[in-house]
Amino acid sequence: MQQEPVAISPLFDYPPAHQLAQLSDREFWQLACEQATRAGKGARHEEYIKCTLDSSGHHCWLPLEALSQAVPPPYRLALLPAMPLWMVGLLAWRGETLAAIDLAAYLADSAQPVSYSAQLAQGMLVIMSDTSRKSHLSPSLALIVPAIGAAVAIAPEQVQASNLQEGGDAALVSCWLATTRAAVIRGSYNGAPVLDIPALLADIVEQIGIAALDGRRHIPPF
Amino acid sequence: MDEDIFPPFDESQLSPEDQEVLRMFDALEDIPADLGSDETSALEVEAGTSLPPLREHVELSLRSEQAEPERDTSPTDENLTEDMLSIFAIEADEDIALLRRALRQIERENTLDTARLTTLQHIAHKIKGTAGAVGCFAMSTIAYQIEAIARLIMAGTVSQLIGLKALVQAVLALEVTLDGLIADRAEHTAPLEELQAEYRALGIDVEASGANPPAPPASATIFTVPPGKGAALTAQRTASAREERSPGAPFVRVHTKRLQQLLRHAERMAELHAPLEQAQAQVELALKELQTAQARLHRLETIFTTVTLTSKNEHIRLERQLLSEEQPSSSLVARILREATERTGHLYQRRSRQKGLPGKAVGDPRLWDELEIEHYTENEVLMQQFSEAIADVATASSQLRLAFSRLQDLLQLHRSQASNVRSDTLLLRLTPLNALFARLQRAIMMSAQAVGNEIQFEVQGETVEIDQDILEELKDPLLQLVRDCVTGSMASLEEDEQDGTGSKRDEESKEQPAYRVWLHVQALGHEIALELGFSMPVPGGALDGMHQVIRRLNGRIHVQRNAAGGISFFLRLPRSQGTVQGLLVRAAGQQVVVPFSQVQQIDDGRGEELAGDRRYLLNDLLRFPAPVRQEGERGTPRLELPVQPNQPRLLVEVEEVCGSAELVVKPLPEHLQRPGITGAAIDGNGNVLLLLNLPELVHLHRHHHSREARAVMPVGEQQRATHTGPGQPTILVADDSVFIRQSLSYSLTQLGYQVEEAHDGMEALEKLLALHPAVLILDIEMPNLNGYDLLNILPAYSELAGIKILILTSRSSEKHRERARELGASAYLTKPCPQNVLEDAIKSVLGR
Repeated sequence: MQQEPVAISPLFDYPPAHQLAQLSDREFWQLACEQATRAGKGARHEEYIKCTLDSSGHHCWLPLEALSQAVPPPYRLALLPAMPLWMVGLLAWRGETLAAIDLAAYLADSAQPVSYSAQLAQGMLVIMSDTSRKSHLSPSLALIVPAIGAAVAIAPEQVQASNLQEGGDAALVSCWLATTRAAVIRGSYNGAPVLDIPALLADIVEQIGIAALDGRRHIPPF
Repeated sequence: MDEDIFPPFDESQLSPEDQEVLRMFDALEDIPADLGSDETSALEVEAGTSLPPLREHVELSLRSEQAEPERDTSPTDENLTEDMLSIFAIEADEDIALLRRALRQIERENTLDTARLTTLQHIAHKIKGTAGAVGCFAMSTIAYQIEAIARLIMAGTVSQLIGLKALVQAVLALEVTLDGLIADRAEHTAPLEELQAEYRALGIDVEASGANPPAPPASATIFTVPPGKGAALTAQRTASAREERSPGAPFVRVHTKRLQQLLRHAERMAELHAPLEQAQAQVELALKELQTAQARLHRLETIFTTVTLTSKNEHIRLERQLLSEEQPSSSLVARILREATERTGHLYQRRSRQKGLPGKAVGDPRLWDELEIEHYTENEVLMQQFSEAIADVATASSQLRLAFSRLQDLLQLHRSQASNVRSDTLLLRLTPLNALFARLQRAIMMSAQAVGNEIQFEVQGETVEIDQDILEELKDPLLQLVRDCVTGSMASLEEDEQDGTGSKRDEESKEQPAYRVWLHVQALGHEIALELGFSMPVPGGALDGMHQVIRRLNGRIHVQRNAAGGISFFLRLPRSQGTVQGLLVRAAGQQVVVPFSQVQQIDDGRGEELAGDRRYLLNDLLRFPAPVRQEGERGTPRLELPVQPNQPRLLVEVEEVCGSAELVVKPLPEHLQRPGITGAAIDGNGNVLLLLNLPELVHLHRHHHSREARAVMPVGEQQRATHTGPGQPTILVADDSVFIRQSLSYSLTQLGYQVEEAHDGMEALEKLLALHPAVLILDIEMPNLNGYDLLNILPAYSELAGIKILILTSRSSEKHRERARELGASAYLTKPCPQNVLEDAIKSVLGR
């Protein structure tokens, strides 16, 4: 069988062979450990996809691992009573009923109800699932974004911690990203928020559930 | 929920009595075998120590069984035996239910949980002991076998699948034996024998488990019961006990005829595969021929274009040559022809000068002669080829149409067969309701006997069939409802008789069962309607376990006083689970589904308007955007909802009635669940269709907008709706305490309110429907529907949505407050309640 060519990772910085030969056993193993550690760090790169959020060029990063499917238009959405303002409707996906969310409106915590505009209808549906938990604990959701880009590998150390919750992080806090969404932002990369999918899904599910209370009988507190 | 019903066994969960029974029979098993020859004396030795009362019963039973052939049965012994039978049967029934539930849990799990098998063993162990103690050797043996098989499964001697199958059969045999025991007062051994044959067929050697087999019976005859008591039940068993069982969710009992029908239809469907493939091949062939003919036509078109251009030039050249060669004799003629040629672009020749070309009719295949090809011009040959190519296209098109038509016919046939197979599959899951009747009958008998009474049970509609899963889900809550109602009402009547407040029955009437329970079932299309009637008042809270099940099954329940003076519960349920037959209607441009059972009538909106009609827009009920209406547009389709007699019509306007459909409906994920939305289906185009509960939506809407609705209502109706005069709202006080009712009535009248009273939940419901009061002050503990029952039922009556409910109860825990709040109460007060607090609460709920 023909062997595949092996690409040498630039992270491995081997000393010349004659130097290796001169190392003592202890020095050799120390070097080996260092290389192994560096290799391990390199392997922890995660892939993210860039999601465009609006025509102004705002975007965010979603971990590729949580992406179940990207569905191009056309797709069919159905209304549900008592939806949060940023929820667009219901979507059938693989025999299940999912909530479809306008991601930009959600992140902005928009006070204006989303209307299912032509622009939104042209967007991509990004089906996200929390792969870290059992599926029944965290249902999948469909996020609608105007466009998605190619996958990019980002090392964890490249994701800058965000202090959005304290009202900081001028790069992120602008007119489009609400500080109330700080809990679903893992950090930022290249000035765009990196979303924490488990937190995002949990928050959206909770918010949709809370919105249902509005549909129940209004009962004043006893 | 079921997953948590039956956690791994913890003996501390058992009642002290059950634990004592287990300990006692453990001790019995430990008795050395050599004492077995004289069991009575062995027990008597044990009885010398401090035995619990039940142990004494066991001892008495064994002694009486042994002594029976030698002496007459005294009335005291007969009563004791009968009491023991009742107690044993009730306990055994409950234990068998536990066994079945435990089995279901095991069957649902992918991996074997030994803790559940241990639980199963413990329950079987208990049955083995109690059955052995009362002399039911067959039941004791079956229970022992269950225990043994569980042990074999755990040891890996028997595979899980085979073992579970054996366990299901064993539990079934246990139930059948118990049924026989109750019905005939004698234990039949046939189920045990059949079971042992089943074990042999499955290759199970029960003795291999090493468990202790039960001790042999002291005597073969089990119970002799006085004829009067044995004849207490007048209902006839309509099917054998064995036919009455459904062994649990993973196994479906199937009627052979239906299975054969399914197989027949499935075979017919399979037979269609070859013709379908053939028809498809014909379509493909015809398509290819058409493509070939089209390609030929296309090639000819290109040739024709080229030839036409060439021949035109050549023709002009030839004509010119002819003209030059044969100039007209007259210069005038020549000039006329030249001018005409210049003017029109065509060459003109004098008729006499035209040279005849081969006079063949081009395009007419009858005149075309291949042998004369040299006589034809290139154009004529080309035209001939065109004609042939067009004819080929026409032929190929025709063949394609024929092949396609044949394929369509076969597909239609295939669809029809597929529909048959689907119907057969649904039918396969149906089972007659008599399985439920037998259990109800037993529960009624047991419950009545436990309080020393007799009840007549009547049944209608035994042959009506229902999905086995629905029946399985319905069975336990319905049994519980019956037990609670019978036991509660009997106890209450007994108390009344003792107090002297109840009606005394004379000796003659006591010979016949005074109380009746009936279950009338009727099939209504894809639904069944059940009336569970009681001729006597029933205790409050009996519906506790029923509401959730009915909701989960997409059913409805309402309550009514019956002609016998008691209460009837009316249930409407789908016959098969998962699929819903409903109307497809449009709201905000999207289709939604309304079950047929929620629609009494559909009209086109041009029907007569009646005074008092209540009309709603479906878009408003769902809070969807309002429909865009064309100017002058009228005649919006309306769905008329079923209402109680003499109530105003409820009409829901929809954008369009699109048709009907049978859809598979699933519940929505928890975060997407909304009041008034039962579930969702996905149609063939990938659309999500919401399944609506229209009465609930109307109720919610009215509740939300009661004030606004009152504001726009005609004044007369407004007053009727809340039964208020200016400044005098009516308040209905529902409490079973005369003192509370009278004191509240006095206080509220003093405050200027009109007050009506109801002494139980049923009367409260009747007065609510008749009077439409503004406020209902509701007690929780009441007979004939308690406060919670009433709160649970009210959403079915959309006309009562505007009524404010104020709970006044002695229950003060947060749990009750929360439950009342969830069920739609507007305020919660605890007794004793100061007048000013009550007054403030009433003003608050009335928005004053």
